[in-house]
Amino acid sequence: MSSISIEDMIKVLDMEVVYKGKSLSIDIETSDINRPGLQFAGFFDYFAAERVQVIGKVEMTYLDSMEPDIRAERLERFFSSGIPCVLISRNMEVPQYLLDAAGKYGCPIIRSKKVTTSIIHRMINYLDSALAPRITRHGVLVDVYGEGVLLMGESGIGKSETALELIKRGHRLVADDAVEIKKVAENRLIGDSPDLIRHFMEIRGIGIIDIKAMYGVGAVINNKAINMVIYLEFWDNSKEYDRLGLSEDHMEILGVKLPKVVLPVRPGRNLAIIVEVAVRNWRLKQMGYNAARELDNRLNSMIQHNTMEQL
Amino acid sequence: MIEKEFIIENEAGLHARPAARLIKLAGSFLSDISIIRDNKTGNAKSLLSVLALGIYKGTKITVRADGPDEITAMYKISKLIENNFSEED
Repeated sequence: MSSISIEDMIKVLDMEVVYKGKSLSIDIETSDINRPGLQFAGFFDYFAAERVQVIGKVEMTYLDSMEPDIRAERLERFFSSGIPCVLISRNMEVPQYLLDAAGKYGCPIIRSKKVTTSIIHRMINYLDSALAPRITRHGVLVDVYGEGVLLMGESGIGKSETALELIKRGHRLVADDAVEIKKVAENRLIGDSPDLIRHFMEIRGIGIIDIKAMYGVGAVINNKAINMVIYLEFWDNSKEYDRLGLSEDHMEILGVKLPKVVLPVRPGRNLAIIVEVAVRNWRLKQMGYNAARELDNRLNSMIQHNTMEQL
Repeated sequence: MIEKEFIIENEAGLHARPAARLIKLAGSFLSDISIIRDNKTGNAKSLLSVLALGIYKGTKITVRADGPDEITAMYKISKLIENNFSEED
């Protein structure tokens, strides 16, 4: 499980540190949040202490209305449970008793100007994305007709050259060589490039080229959801390649199943066009049209027709 | 599969030229060779992938070799890194 420090979250979400606590490098490990109303009321069963605790208008008003000695006791129990940090919304003033209770355990208090629901939404979105499982894969990610296509295959098979031809034909480069893949939802992978090498490409014999400088902004895109994998491999005469396209192959990345097409490479085969065709064909299938099945249906009805006539 | 850890001593870090030497050497073996820095993995046969790791002086890296010639590969790569990526053997 990945984690993110409070410090990083503050920077991105434009929050303010009210009390620094022991350290701001405490890690948050879940994108869930908790509003501690019930805990302030004394109910601590199933208390999710590992989450960011958000105090909004309701919780704050409730705290203010409590008897000081009961309040001190509940806050003591609240902060002693090892919560990562407390977030105050609506830019509310932080009362001294809260600061004192947090100070005892060195728990950071941060504050946002936004209203509670809005900051919770933004925080969950941010944490979901920042905590998403990720992996780096060797390959080239290109946007072809709006679909994210991950070209994979051994070093030197011609992934970059194929991508270059695709760019020339109007498609867009996301990442060459190293693709950082992030699982943002159950069934959704987003790929992007490591910052250092974004939009650079290596072409054997020429060296490093800058696609953005060479082909313009229209030829690049920063990140893209990955829809399919195209695997390039050296033509193997002993292997039977798909001739019909009725069966479907898959590849699993971070637990997400992606459709996979294996393309054999041979000198003289224009791979960019074949990649384009593979994507068009996949889009047709998505829209419910399968050319191989269509041909099969025609054949079947012809066979049926002829058998009927013979009877 | 074998793994070995290194600390980069090269003054300028793993910039373009030393990286190019490393991938040229790695590319001459059949084994899969990867460079691991923290939680990032780069394919040692691909220049951009190695450069993307952002390795500077003092960085700890792990080299992993997996394949039929992994021992020779690791030996040659160790020598290159220990010689601070200079070309002579």
